[in-house]
Amino acid sequence: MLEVANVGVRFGGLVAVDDFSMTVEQGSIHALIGPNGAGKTTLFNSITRIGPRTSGKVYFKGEDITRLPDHRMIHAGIARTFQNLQLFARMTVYENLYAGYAFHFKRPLLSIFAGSHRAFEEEVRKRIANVAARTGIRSALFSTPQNLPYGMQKRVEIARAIISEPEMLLLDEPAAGLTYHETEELDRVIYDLSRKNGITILLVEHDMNMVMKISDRISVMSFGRKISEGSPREVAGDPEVIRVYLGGEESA
Amino acid sequence: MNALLQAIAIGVPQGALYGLMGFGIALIFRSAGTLNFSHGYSAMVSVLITLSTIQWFLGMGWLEGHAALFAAIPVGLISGAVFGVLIDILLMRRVKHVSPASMLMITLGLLLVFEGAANLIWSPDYESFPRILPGAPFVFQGAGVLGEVRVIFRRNDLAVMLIALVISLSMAGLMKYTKIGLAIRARGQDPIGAQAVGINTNRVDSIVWAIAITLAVVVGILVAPITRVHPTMLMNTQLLGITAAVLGGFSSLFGAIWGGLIIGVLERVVDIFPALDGYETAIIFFLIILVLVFKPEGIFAPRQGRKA
Repeated sequence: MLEVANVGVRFGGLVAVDDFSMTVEQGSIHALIGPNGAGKTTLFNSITRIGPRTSGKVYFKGEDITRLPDHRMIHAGIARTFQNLQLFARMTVYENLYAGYAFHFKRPLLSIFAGSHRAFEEEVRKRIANVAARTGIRSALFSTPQNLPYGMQKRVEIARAIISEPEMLLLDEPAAGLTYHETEELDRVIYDLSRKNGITILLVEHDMNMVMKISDRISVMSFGRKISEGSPREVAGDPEVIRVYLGGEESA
Repeated sequence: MNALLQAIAIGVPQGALYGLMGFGIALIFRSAGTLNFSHGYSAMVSVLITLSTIQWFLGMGWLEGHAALFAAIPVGLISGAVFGVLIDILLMRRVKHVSPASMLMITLGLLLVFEGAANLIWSPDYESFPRILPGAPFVFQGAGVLGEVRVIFRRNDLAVMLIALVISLSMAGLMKYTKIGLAIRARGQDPIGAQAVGINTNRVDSIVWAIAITLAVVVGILVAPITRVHPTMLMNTQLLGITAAVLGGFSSLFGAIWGGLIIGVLERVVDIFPALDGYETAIIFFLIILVLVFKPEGIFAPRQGRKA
């Protein structure tokens, strides 16, 4: 589904990501993990074009998307969420979700006057109700994001990302800043998206519990390189992974 | 009492123009991320273009009198939109990611460029500009509960107020009910999130610049019969437009329009007192200082929600 081929990111002399390759299989939940400073977020941002990329290519469904402009990603079928949330703070949750669908809809941007597009409005309303139920944010639809608990805001952002039915969803540290209970709720939402809706998911995550529980496949990064890849069980048993996470003989 | 009514009758249309100016300035500030110091100056060039077009139509003998004005207005408005798009694509897009200060510097530079171009291509002379609604002013006269009343209302101000009202309402509709309005709000509130939902933020910026400068041209055309046409004709209007935007709070677009109305009326009310003659501007800016000190988010800004 998504293929990262020999991606490298350098900041001057510092090599943040070194010749990294991985393939995310269709329909899977793929996690990218690694200790602090391993370059996960740098790699993730270079895939999504928020950050720089020095070399390498990214393919989506066999097509080179390396030079696709940022705002075209969603049109190609790739949605994303952000570590620090990028919601529209002065709009209601309803309007946030509306925005998530409206611009994916292929019609000229200028000519849309809502009154003359009842059918479209009706369709969006149904989609919003549906997606709000799936992510458990129904009660929050008419609040502004800043008045919601953090866990709820995270789910609003996921709802906004999936309302246009993307084929792929990129999640940047979805569990960061959440309580144990909120993380459990989020687990279920993400798992359902993959199993019930068939969305391919790539996530960068710190929370090992979550990663081990929901991932089909895990890539482990350390100092910009891929050091291990496999099922949660394989990765958890890899001595190299244990070494970088818990500290090996040299560093102990 | 009569003086107060008279002040309102002149101040409200004047204030509506400050408000429209402020609306455009606040729109650019919120969505495109800079305070546009060249706002009135680019519009001034468009007014000069409008005037030249009128003179050309008259000179060629194609159109006469008012028909020439109405035929030339679209030319002026389109030139404003073109200036807006060019400023965005040729200049702002290149420095947008560098720093807000560099965008600000460019708008200051543009102010000088537009003023210089006006002096070079046209002239520093004052030229007259036709009114949209010419004719004798309305005089409202009579005795009522307020005593003897005699208020004069300029006929052209009727056009000014109607146009300002229609534009305000259609802008409100545009921002609230259309996709482009949603895109403008989204881009202003969170550019990264806007791109993630598929909004081409560069295109939104160009549209914002085009709308805002076109509005400034409307203001310029309406104010031109009073100020006459010359390179600094919109200096005062721009200054008070920025003031209106500050008063209304940059975070609320329509606050700028109310801010403009307040300034317009205040300017005339101060005029009533002979002792305060010449202090209009000082008093208005004193008011701004008070607002900035006691309610920096603007007097019409929505209440801030709780921070999460």
